[in-house]
Amino acid sequence: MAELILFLVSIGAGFLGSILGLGGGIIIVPVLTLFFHINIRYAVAASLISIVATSSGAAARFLNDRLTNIRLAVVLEVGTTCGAIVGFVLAKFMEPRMLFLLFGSFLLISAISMLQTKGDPLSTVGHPWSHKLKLGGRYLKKKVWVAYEVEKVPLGLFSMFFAGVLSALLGIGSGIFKVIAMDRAMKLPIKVSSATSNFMIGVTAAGSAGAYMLHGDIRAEIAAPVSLGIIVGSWFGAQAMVKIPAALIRKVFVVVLVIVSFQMIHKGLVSQ
Amino acid sequence: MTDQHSAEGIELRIAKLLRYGVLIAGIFIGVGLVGSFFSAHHASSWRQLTEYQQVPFRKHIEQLAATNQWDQLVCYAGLFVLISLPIIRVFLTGFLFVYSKEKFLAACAFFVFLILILSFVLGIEMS
Repeated sequence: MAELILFLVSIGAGFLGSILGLGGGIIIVPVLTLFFHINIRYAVAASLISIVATSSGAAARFLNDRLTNIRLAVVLEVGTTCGAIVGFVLAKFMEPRMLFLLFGSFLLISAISMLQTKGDPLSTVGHPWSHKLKLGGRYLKKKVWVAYEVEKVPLGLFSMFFAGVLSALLGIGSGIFKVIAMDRAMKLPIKVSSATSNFMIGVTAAGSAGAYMLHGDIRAEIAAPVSLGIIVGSWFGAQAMVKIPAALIRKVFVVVLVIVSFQMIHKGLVSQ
Repeated sequence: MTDQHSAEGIELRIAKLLRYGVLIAGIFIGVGLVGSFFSAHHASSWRQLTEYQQVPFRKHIEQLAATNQWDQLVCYAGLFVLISLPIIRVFLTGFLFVYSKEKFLAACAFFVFLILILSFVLGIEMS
C-alpha cells in the first residue's frame, strides 16, 4: 500500500518537476520523512534518484521538440559541476544558517522580479560568446519556429557555478537557481529555461546518486516506486509542457519559488 | 551539413538514448517492484528504513543475493541503468561534438564527464 501511495505521489512530483525544470525532491523528501517516517538520509537519496528520473524521463521529448538547448547546457554544466565540487569542499568549513536566510531572501526577490516581468523574455541580440559558440537556438511556439539568442553568457556561467556551490552546500536541488539564471540573466524563453535546466539537473544529481549508492543509502524499497512514478509523471509532464502557455508555467514557477524561499528562511531561523 | 542540422542531429541521437534507457530502467524497476509484493521480506523491509544504518552497497547486494531477494536485485539493476544515463549522455554528447568538429563543446562535455566519474569514485555528494 505504501509503495502505491509513493508511486502516485511521485507521478505528481514528476509531472510538476518536468514542467518547471526542477527535481521532484521538493515533494518527495517531505512525503517520505513526514508521512512515512523514513530516515532523512534515505529520503534525500531517493530524491536524488527522482531528479535523475525527472531529467531523463522528460529530456527525450524536450529534445525532440527542440526545447532543450544542448549546446548551452554543455557549457553551463562545466560551471555547475565545478561549483558542486567547491561546495562539497566548503561544506566542511561553513555554517549554512546564514546562507539559508540570504538565499531564501534572494529567491523571494527573484519571485517578485519574475512576477513583474511582462511576457516571456526573448533576446534577439546575443552575447559575443553566444555567437562564437552558436548557443542561440529555435523552438516551436504555437506551431511557429521562434529563434532566440543568449545574453550575458559569462554571468550565466558564473550563476551556474554559484548554483552548484549552493546545491552542494545547502543540500538543495539547483534547478530553481538554474531556471532563474537562464530567465533573468540570459533572457531565455521560460520553456527553454525549464527544459534546459531539466536536462542539466540530472547530471549533478547522477554524480551524487552514484556516491549515495556506493554508501548504500539508496534503498530499492523506496527508490523503486519513486523512480517509476517519476518516470511516468515526467513523461506526461513533458507532453503537457509543450501545450501549456508560457505565462502559466511562469506563474506556477513563481508559486514554487515563494514556497521554497519561505522554507529556506524558516530553516535559517530555526537551525542552531 | 549546416550547424543547425548538426546540432539537431546530436539532439535526436541523445533523445533516442534517453528514451530507450529510461524504458529499460523502467522495465527492470517495474518487474522488481511487482516481484517485491510477493516477497516474504516485503513487510519487514520498510520498517528498517526509519533508522539509518550504513551498509555499503556491495555488502547489501551480497546480503540480498544470499537471501534470494531477486526482486530487489532487479530493482537495483534498473536504478543503476537510470543513474548511468546522464553520465553516458554526457560522454555521448562529447563524442558527438568531436564527430562534428566542435572542439570547445567536446572539451566541455569530457571535462564534465571526468568530474562526474571522479565524484562517483570518491563519493563526492554534488547536490
